[in-house]
Amino acid sequence: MADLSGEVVEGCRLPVLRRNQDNENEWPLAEILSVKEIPGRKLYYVHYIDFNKRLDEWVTPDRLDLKKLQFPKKEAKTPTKNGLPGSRPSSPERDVRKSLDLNVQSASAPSRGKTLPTPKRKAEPVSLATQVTAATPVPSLPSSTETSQASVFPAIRDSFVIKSRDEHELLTTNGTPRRLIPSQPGRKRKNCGGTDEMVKVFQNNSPRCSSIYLLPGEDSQDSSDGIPSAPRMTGSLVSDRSHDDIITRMKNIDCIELGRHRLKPWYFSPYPQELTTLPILYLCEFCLKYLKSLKCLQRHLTKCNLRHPPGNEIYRKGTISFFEIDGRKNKTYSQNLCLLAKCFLDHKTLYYDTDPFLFYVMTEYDLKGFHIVGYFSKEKESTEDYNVACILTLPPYQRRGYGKLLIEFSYELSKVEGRTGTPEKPLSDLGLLSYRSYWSQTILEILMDLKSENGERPQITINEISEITSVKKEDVISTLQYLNLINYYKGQYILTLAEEIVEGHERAMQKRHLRIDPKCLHFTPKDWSKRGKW
Amino acid sequence: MSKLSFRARALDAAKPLPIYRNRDLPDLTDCVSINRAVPQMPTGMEKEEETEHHLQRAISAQQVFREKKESMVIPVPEAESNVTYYDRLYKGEFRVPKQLIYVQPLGLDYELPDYDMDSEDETLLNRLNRKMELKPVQFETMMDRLEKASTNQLVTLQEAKLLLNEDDYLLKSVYDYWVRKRKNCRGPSLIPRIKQEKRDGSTNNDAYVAFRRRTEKMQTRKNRKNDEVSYEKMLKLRREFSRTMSILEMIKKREKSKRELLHLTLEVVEKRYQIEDYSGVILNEVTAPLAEKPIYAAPISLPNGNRHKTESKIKSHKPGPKHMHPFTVKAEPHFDFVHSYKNYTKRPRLDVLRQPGRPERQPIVNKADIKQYDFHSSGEEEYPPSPASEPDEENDPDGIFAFRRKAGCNYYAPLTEQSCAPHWQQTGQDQLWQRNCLTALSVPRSCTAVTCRRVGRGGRVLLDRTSSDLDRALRHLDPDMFYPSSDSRVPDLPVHTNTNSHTFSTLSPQCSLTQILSDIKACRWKFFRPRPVQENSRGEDKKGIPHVEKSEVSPLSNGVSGGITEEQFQSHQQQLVQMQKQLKQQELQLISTAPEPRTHPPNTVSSDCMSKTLDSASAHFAASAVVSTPNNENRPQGPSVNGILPNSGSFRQAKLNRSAQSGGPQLPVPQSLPHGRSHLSTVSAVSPAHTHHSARPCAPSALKLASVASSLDRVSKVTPTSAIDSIARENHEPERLALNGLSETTVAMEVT
Repeated sequence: MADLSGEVVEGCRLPVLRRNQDNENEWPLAEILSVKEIPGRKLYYVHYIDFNKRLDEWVTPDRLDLKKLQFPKKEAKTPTKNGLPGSRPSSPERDVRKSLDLNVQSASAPSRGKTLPTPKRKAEPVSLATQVTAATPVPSLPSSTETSQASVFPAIRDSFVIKSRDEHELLTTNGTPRRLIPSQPGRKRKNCGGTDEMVKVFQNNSPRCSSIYLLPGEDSQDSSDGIPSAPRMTGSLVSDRSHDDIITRMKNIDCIELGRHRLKPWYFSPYPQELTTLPILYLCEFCLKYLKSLKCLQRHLTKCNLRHPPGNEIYRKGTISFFEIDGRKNKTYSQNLCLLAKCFLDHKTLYYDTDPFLFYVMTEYDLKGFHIVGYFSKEKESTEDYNVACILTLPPYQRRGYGKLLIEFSYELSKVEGRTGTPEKPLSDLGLLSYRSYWSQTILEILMDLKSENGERPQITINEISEITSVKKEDVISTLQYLNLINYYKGQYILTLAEEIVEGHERAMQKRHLRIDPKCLHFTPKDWSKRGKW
Repeated sequence: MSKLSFRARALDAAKPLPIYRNRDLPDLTDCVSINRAVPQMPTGMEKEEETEHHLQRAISAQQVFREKKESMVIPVPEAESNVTYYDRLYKGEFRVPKQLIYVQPLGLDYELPDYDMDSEDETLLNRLNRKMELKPVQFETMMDRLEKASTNQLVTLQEAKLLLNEDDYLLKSVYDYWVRKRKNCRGPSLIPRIKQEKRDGSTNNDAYVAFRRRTEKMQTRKNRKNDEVSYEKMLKLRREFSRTMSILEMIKKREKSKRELLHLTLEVVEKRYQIEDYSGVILNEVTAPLAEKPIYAAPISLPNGNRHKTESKIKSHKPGPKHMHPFTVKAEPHFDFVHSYKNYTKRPRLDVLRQPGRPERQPIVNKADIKQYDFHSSGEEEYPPSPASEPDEENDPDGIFAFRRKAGCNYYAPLTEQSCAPHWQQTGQDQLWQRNCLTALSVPRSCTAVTCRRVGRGGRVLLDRTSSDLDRALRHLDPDMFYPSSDSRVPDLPVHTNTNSHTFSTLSPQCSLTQILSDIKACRWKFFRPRPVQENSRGEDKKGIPHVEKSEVSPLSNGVSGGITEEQFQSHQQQLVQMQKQLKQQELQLISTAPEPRTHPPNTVSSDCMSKTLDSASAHFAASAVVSTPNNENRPQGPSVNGILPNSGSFRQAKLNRSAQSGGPQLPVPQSLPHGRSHLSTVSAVSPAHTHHSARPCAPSALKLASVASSLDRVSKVTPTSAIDSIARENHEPERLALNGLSETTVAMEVT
């Protein structure tokens, strides 16, 4: 092992031991992003492929399965993006994914898609045979971002890609008795119980639309491929490409102490570099100032007399309050908040200042003060109907309904403003789940409350739903689709409420205690367009 | 299947959708998959992440079970909420106000330091606290200031001194500690900060640079121009505020020196009382050498919002009459301090016994103090250094004689009838004899020297003595030798001889003495002897202005009648005109003879500098004259040091004082009652260097004067020069007359 560990360099792929939620050991494939040597041993920063980056971690060599080490294929990767040659370990993953998507789109459209896993499974038999090819340098291929080129060599690309990926899986299954973590959702489907039509429909659709869907403003960024360019100036989220370098791919803070809580950051955050080596970064719970030591925090607290976010309280019910903070007027706090939030939001960008944003901080009161629970930011003027830019529930408060409360609040604001809104894209996995959940419950609530008038079936238009809820029309439709409520019946679209959906909704609503009370909201929207500058 | 055979119409958001329960539609299963006709909405996620294992699992679980299952939740890194010392850390309780919390939008930053002490600092603090009391916040403030004043370069100890204003021991220890800590610090600053963007764009890809300014303006709006205007206004406002701060700072300083002056004055008076020096003889003796020292007009320049600064460069302090103080006003880079500052030791409180040649203390504007409030805002452009403050004489055709505007001075159009182009303003002045001539004074008699003559303000003739190798020889020279009559005028026909001038330095005193004499007699040298003061001073004596020969005490001024008669005025005028004529004549002559090469540079130490110091010399004179006035009152003896005669300022002052004290019965001078301004400035012109002059036997009057000075004082008059200036220009006729009259009496100033 020791002799091999020297060969484990950045860009290598190999199975790494990981303990899952059920406390079982898994050996998912991982990519080495960085190697560091601390006295006595080496540590490896690994990204588990097909797992979210937030699970990336430093591991000791004994957790590496060196027998299945795959070396990086540098040649295939040489045309690096963003003009940062060599700054990033080669990771074919991205290209793979893209070409796969392309492939799926073209290939699976006519034959009710098996989607992602499909080509893989097809390729499985081949993979053993092509093992050698994978190890040997492959003639360099153009970056697959150019669709035209990708379509020129679809066959080569796909076969290569598939080989290199699946060869490993095969090896794992063949070579060791360890439990193999399925890295494809398609496998999971079987575990989840059979041929549920809904699952299939969803999976059929998702990759396809994702390849069709382009973020507004994204094309401009794509077009400047290879040239480092500043991100667009509106919004606060950034699509994955622009922060595609090794520094931002790795978490840089070990631990953050915030009030009673110790948080393990999920992602990179640009706190001052000298603070990133600390075992713990201390934050003032109320002003969010970052401090290098407990002593400093102690000293700071003698000077900081904030006991709530430094903004106006615009909502209070029970212990829950919302504070509005202007990103231009209160820069220090806004920046500190963003730095903290960045630790948990992958796609958040801190490239530009906070001026065009408002920050709505949700707090929970106790005798010590108003403790931050979560927040969302919002552009003062959005050209794309965004009513939320970034949204975050701090990890200690997650999965307790606060996220939905934040979302609900954001729509309450939109209702006061008299317009519909949607969260800025891209959504994170947790964001997608939360929003879908909120949309589902909100829409179902309306649909189930509709009473039939004079004996006729109750009916409602999508626009009406959108107006009532301030949820943007597209989001209403996607939710209806997602819930499979919309059907075509006898020449017209109808909404159908399945039993299990109704039951599921009722159960969920029983658990949903935290609600926003519009009466407690004291909010007057400002017309920022008339103010010259935000 | 036939399901695909027909096309569904597009979904219309405006069309009502009837709502069915599944149980109401037994045949629904037939049309389920029509669903695909509705365009799928994107999830809004990144493509790559959409397929992540845990998400897919969670979505599937939700689809299947319609609710979350614990095991299907997307796992996240753990968070703990068990910080045990929380209650000790966040002390106290916070009561919720009944009202919603409203924060003032312009929450001013507290004066509290950003720097937070760490445990290392605490060790130092504890150590320091054994010797003195130092609060943590105090310490943090010091560190904070040091930190914020340093950019890439650390502030120096000198700068730190100005910055912190703490006692030396404390300052030194904290400074040294800070320097050490700073050097060991990994970050760019001891106060951790988010990395800032650089304007050159080199940081565009730096992941640690955050919160860049949005360079591109957002959409152009009609009122955007307004925004810029108001921004600039704000900038201006801020600059002006910072100037106000610095002015106040300087006022504070000045008031302090005035208090010091008062104390010194008192002390002198007391001492004199103790040694019974009522006539001021002793005082004169001790102060005589001091009077030779000019006080330099403080090069105080209130920065006009920009940061060019004055710097007095005095590199060496060799005592001796030869030494000239070059004065340069120079634009300095941002954050440089007056270097000469450290060269000065603190002046003893009573420096009566000070030796001549000792360097004067420079009034120094503490730039650091000013700087402290002079924030440099990013939008502001650096002012180009004003050309006048550039010290390169070579390129400047006017050289050091170029006009330099002085802050705090009022400039007026020249009064033509008095103006007389000073001949010394010609260029190429490095020859001593071109500008200077031998001069003898009647008061005191012995004062024969090489001087330069010029016309000062108000037509006074000022003699600036230059040191030369001849000094020793001249000391033995009796001025009356060649002009036995004290009434005789100056020959005013300067004839230049240069034959042997360059050999002077080698001559023995005896030899040179005779030579000089013969030279003078042969009119080969310019020789100037001021007209003796008799007529004038006699006249003035009657009016209460004491004219003093050093040796005698004139009792005249006691029984004085005030005012200036028409006659006197006329005669003064005439004399003045005459003098001007003479001067012009002289000048003409000079020009005509100028082509002759002069080769006598006895003192290569830039004689240029003289012109600089001259000004201050006159200021010195004026100021001392002013200060000396109170003497007139109780003591007829005005100190005339080296021929300085009490001037109109003192006259006026005397009158004022008298009228103030006794209701002014003897002096019917209503028209000459100085209007506030000049009086004020006169008083404020008193500078500490002249305390010995203002010694008065009567302490109360001194107090009174001082209190008048401090109570009525104005802000702007900083330099004695300007004070005198304002007098000269603003006074009423009699006062000017007095000044003019004064010009008849030649005043010699020794320039060291």
